[in-house]
Amino acid sequence: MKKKIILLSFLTVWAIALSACLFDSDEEGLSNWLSDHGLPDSYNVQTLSVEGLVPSKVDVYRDTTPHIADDRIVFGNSANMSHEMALEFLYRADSAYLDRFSKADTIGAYISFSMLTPFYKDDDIPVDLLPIKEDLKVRVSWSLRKGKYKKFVDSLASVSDSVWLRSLEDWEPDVVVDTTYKIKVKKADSLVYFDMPDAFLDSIKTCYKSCHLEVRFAAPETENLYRFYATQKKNYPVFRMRAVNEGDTLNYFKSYSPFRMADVTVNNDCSDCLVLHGGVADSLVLEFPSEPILNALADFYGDEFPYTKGDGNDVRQAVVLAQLTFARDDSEGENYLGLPIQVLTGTYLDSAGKESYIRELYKVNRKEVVKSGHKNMVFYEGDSLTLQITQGVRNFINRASSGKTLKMMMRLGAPQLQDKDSTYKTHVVEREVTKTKVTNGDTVKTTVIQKDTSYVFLSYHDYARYDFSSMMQKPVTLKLWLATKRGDDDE
Amino acid sequence: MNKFLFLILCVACFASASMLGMDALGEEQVHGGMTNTAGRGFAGGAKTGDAEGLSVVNPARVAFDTKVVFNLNFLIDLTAIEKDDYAYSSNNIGLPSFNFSFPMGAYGALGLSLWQHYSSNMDEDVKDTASNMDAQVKYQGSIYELVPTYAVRLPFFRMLSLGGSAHFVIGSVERSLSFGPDNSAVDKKDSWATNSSKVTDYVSGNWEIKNHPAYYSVALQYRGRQSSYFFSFTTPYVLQNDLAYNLRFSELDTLVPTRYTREIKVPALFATGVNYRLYKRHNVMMDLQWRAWEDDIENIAGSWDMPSVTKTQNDFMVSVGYQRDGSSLFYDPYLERTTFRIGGWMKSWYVKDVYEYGGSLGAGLPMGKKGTTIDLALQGGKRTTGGDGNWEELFFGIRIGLMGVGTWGQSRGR
Repeated sequence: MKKKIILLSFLTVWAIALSACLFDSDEEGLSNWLSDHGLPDSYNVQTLSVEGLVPSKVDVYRDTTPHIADDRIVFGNSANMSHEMALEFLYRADSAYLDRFSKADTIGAYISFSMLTPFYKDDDIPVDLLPIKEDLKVRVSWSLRKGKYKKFVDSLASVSDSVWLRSLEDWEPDVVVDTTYKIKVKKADSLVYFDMPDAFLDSIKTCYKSCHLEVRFAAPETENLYRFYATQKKNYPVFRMRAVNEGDTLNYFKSYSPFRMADVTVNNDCSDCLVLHGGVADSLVLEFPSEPILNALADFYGDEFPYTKGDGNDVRQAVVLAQLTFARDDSEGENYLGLPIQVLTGTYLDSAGKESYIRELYKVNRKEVVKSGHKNMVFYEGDSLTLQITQGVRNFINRASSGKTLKMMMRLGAPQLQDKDSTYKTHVVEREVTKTKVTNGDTVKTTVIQKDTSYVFLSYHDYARYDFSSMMQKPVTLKLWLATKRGDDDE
Repeated sequence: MNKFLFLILCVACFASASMLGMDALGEEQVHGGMTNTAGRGFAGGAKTGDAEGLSVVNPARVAFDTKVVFNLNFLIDLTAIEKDDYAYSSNNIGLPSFNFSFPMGAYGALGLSLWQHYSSNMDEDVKDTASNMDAQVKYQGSIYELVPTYAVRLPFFRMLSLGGSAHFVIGSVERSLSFGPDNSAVDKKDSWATNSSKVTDYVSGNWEIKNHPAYYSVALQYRGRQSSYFFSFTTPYVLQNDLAYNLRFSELDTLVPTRYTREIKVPALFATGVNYRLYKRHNVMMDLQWRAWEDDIENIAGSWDMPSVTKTQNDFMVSVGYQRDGSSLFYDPYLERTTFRIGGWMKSWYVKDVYEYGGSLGAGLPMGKKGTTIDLALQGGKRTTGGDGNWEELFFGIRIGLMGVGTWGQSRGR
């Protein structure tokens, strides 16, 4: 049996060797066969510019929902938008301490916040962030709910973040107090103390068992935006009570940390102004009329657009890349960190009959970027904004017979540190460093490779504001890079 | 055995068989691509024996079998195409058929075949001179037929048998062409946008018979002392291929394909054959089959400059062969027990102006005493074309058939 299998194996190898010898093959053989059968070995790229497009509909969507603050939170005002801090404390009161607190000669309480040190120390931010000095007018409001048993606290702790965030939208405080704090922040690692008003002290005296305390700070009049650590970092905010009797040599403190925090935003721009804010999920949704695009395609190919034959789905050509160029004027915008800000784009596709949103990819024009920077940024040199919407246009032409329009979304993204970086992603840069050392009288030179991480985007938002009104009134150019399946005399 | 399987898999990596009719139906595996038939030049549809097994062309033959036959066929195919000074060669491995027949004595015989009737296989990379990227060309199509068969010897006329089979068609076809860009027609400053962007022209679809579950074959076989004959008729049918055409950039694309159904009218097939026993264990045989194509076959095409139809012609095949049967006596020398075959054929393809001339050598190598056999066939030949975009082909193939024989259901006394 084994011998026969070996014989068969031998025959197979022999056959392959025979094919190699007798059945000659050359590099161009297959290419020529493909060409004889009307098959290409590459697709022809054609470009088409559709000029003078004007959005037929522009809607602005404001992000007014509170956001959970895990590792950082902002407080204050920026670009017509107020950021309030909401803190939730869930704790079992220490009744012995509370007795002391209620009877002590001097009592007090504060909530302290640590400045977001790495932000204020970040050398990549080209503007001076510190010092901050002001009389900060703050509206402090709070509500306190009391329970007897631990399960009161446990049940509230089990409330999901989303439910809690929703509750913040129509939250009614028990007490509201306006107060002013003297703020002096010189160092990046400073603490900011908000001493709590007397009414607050009276409130917390009443909770002896299980306590649910919600506190909100708002500073609608300030011109500063403070960035603090939030709950997930070791420098989390602290709510601390102090009770001192005459003659005490020790301070008696009781501290609690917030169970969770949220950034509650209040947008002061008019609801239909075409303004987007950075740091929040404001978005602009644009629709372009289909006729000018389809007419341009019809003129270009000499075909019928929209394609209505058969099932009407058009795969005669494909959009390899599509980009829109808008006229840009940054004068109506405000940014604070002195860096350009990328504009993110997304489009709305038809997925199994339902509209679904997809974030567009960005292909870098490397040569151009190195020379004159990315074109998808605002607060940057130049007078145009170029955005890629490849998947959206591909989908639009594919289903043009359904009568849908080209719909896209714009949003302010992250501040860009390297405006002329063609990699467009965080990467490691290696460089050789020569070190000289004297050992036993000899000078020894050693070369080491130092690695630095090159970040393209800043890790912090610029709570900027950009007004797109004038941009939306000016004509837009859509440029398409197309691959077609049409043959020389086909279709 | 593992080494052997490894070798087969290695060959399978360079998959491409005949490139004729690739956009239509592909290459036909005549007579189920059975190794024993291929060894005698695809003749011998009329040859009867104890364990000849199923014939997809002559369903009546199996009625004369007395043993259960289990048969699995492999094909290793080497093809070289050439035109003018250009040549290209490729390899392919296939499994043309799997057959099982179960004789039941006076109650006739049952059989079941899984037959890859037509196949188109190609998976190649070609360097594109425009973008310097690799273009991938992939064709993968199979029209499988599941063929249940029943045959019975006629009462009183025991030298005659009547057989019938139904051919249930299943299968799929896929064509995938991935290309890089040719930026020669665009401004140099615009070429960045498509650099390294591959586009895949993708078509896929399923095969079935239109408005009917199957098509059918009927055959009449005569077995004489020296001569045996058969006549068979296969009904015409319409193959339906539901295709979806798309251009792809990634698997996550949400583009909706354009759907289209092509219909291929396959005409009736007439087949006949004769086997003549010269003297003990020596046979000569000749088979003929004929199918008159009327309509052109619509191609997958759908894009670029690919022709929309494949022109057809009358499809016939003449095959002649010789077989020396191996001795059934286990104590005979091994060469005596080995079956030897030789044959040749001339086939006019369904593709216009394509003619195939081939020859083959075969052997049936007995393995052990129970009748298990490894069939081996070496085949080679040429396919000529009348130009028109088709290239001539030289082909060489090795077929390996594993045949297990059993005597289930037979009592010792019979």
